[in-house]
Amino acid sequence: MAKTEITENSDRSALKIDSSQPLSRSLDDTIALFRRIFSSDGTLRIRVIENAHDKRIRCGIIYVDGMIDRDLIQNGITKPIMTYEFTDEDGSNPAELMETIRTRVINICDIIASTKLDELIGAVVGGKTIFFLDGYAGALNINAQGWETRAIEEPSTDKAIRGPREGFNESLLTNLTLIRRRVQNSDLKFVFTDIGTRSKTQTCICYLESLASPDILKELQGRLARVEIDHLLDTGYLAELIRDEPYSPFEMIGSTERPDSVVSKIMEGRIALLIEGSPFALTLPYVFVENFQASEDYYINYSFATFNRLLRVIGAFMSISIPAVYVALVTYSQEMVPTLLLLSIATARLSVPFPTIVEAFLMLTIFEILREAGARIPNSIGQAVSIVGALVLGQAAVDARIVSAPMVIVVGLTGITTLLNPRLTGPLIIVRILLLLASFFFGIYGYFFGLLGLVIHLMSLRSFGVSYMLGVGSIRPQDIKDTAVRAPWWDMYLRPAVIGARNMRRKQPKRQAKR
Amino acid sequence: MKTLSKVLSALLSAVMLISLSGCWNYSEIDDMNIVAGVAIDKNKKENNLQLTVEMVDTQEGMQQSQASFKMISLSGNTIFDIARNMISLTGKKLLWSHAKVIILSEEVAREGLIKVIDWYSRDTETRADVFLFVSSEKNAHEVLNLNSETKTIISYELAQMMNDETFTSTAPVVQIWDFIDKLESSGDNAIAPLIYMYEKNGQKNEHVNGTAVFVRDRMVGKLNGDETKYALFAKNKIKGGVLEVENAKGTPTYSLEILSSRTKVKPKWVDGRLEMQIHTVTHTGLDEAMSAEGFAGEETIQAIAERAGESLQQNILSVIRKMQREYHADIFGFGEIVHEEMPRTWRKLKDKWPEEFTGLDVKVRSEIIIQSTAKSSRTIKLGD
Repeated sequence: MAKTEITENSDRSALKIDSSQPLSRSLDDTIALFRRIFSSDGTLRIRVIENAHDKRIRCGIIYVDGMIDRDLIQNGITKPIMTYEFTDEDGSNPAELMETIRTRVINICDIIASTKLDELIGAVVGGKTIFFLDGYAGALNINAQGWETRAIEEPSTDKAIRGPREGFNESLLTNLTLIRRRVQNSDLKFVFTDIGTRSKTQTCICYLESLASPDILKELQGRLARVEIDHLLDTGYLAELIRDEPYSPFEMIGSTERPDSVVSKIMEGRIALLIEGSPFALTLPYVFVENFQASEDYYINYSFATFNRLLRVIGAFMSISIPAVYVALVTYSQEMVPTLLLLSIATARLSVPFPTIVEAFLMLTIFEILREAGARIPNSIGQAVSIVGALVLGQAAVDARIVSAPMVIVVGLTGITTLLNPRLTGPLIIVRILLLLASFFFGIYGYFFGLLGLVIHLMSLRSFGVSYMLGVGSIRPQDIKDTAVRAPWWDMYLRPAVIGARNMRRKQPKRQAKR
Repeated sequence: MKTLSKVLSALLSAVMLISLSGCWNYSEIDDMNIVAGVAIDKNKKENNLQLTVEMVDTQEGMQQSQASFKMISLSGNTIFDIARNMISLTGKKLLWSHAKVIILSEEVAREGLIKVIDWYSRDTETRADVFLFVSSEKNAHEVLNLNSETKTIISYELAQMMNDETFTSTAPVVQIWDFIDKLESSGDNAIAPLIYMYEKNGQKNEHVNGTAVFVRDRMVGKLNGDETKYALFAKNKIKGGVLEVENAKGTPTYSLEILSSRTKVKPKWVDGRLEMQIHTVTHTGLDEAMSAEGFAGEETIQAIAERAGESLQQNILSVIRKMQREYHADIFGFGEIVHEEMPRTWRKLKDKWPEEFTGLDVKVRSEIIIQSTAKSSRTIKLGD
């Protein structure tokens, strides 16, 4: 790693290019300079064009192939330059001519004049076209970008049966328009920065100025400024670099593929972070209950949404507890199992060669293997995995008395309940294993101590200064309106405390509105 | 480097802490024999105790849909000694926490129970909520051995029977903690249900009916099923059951189902003597009228209720008299009531309560309310 850096540095010094040097007046010199800079880059295109009527007008355009819109360059730059009839009014010296070209000839809306070489190099690699005029020590930075992007599709995570179907794609600008279309208000701010010393990935902070907390915004910008990485491929990199509590398995920054979800978070005073090339937007601060919130909850009847949320909360609890409680009951506290259940467990466990704990770890591992196998294979063989996994392995293992039937039920239940909370999959697996170990060593006692530890850990977490367990354990009705329950929209007239503290009122409560 | 060594030492100590402390109390259930019930007999040959254990046989249960049973019998001098020695017979440790019943032979019960039930209530592996029975047969293990006839686990059947006992009220429901509680109190005598073997048409079954009466920890006598019911009335322990009522001519005609019953016992000084005044209020439903004539025409419901009340009153009184005269055992807890209501008097009476109880004046007043006549308001009428 260090070695390559040295050689790259020496390459750069061998070229002896000082990117802060002034541009040359001569077009040929400039072209030669660019050829040197992009020496082994086959995608660089350099074209020299002249005006048909006026020989003074000799120009060069430089761009990277594949990142520009060819039609736009032909109709907007080359054709007008070649055919425009320059008169004396259009100027006599190159500076005046350049101004004429910028204002009257080139037929493209987004043009910036620039004289700095490093800016121009950045523009070329960013897909812009640069335009030189012979005799003038400056250039035009023309935005004629054009490349293929994925269409706006329904997001594959965060599926909703009812609600908007649009999902982000890999183009930052498209993603920002998806947000802008939902908030047509000048209060919505988009602040751009580049992150990545080599990749220079465009990053956009997106927030509502009147709602977002300035402290959190400042903290976020500070953290982004301190990020040291050479490239960013996904917001996942960024989330890990700027999050709080780097050792906790719990996510401290939310991520979503849905524009509607980002907008709803922005509307609560949160800040969103998007980067070029990733369809996942980050939202922060992030609190624990957001793990249980699906965007669909807000679009369907609130009583049903509340029921679904409660299911998810119970599911998360069951998915960490079931194996641990089973092991604790069967190997330590047999007296707590109802007699008939104990009899059927004892019967099923007969002639199973492994101790219960080994059985539990074996089955949980097999389940995780099946999950991981299913996650990455093509859809066409996905069925085969579930058939092999569920039917062949499970059934045969029970028949062959390698594992007991109750353990298969335990692992099956654990797996299903994990699927209820796709956002919590990772943390749940880790917590489940820790609790299982605790109850293996200390029985029910160990399990409860493990739970206690989990609660202490969760309570101590903070995301951008906001308590991770915001609203959990509160008995004020206002605090729990959007937690394990989802209050009807006509009742949610305040934003969540702390995050939306700057401007609490979503709307006037009904009573006051009547007055 | 420094943080690495810190993390490593923390990990190492965590691993040692857990692995050196071992798996506290870890035991697999398939390495244990689940005990369903125990019978304790006297072994006359060696003059010591014999413990018979009914266990669930999970091995058999694998082939059948129903769990099967295994029996083991062993004698020894102390119960715990026998219980541990059983491992050498079964090869597995016994799991006592799912035992439901403990059956004592009458002989053991008459000699004194404390020495045999102490282990059961003291040990950490056993539970204090097992049902206690006294066997009316010669040996207690005979009852458990009925399982070879019925092909079911007798202990669990008995436990189920005790849960439904409130619908008949012909035997008290006694768990071992409750029994010990009564033994320890000075104004209350312990009782336990009696268990019989019941044979009809060659089919043997267990049958719980009647009460064993204890003075201190020794069994002194028995009450039959009916007497038990009236004794339970006096103890305010009736939750259900049936009261038979005769018609005006003296033949049993009506059945009243007890819906709820409340007994109030009040000690009172009457002419310088302590008198217990018992007042029972029983809500019933008329559930059977074995008569072709409409009861409403011939006899009013009120008349039936009054007659039922009178006979109940008499029956309760006669059970109390029997206790006073024959066994001198205050199974009704009158002493406790005096203790609660008249603490000063109790202090004087405490030491001579058994004699005091024998001479106690008792007045019973029973009130029966017939709330309904179940589904029908008339009798079945014969068509012409």
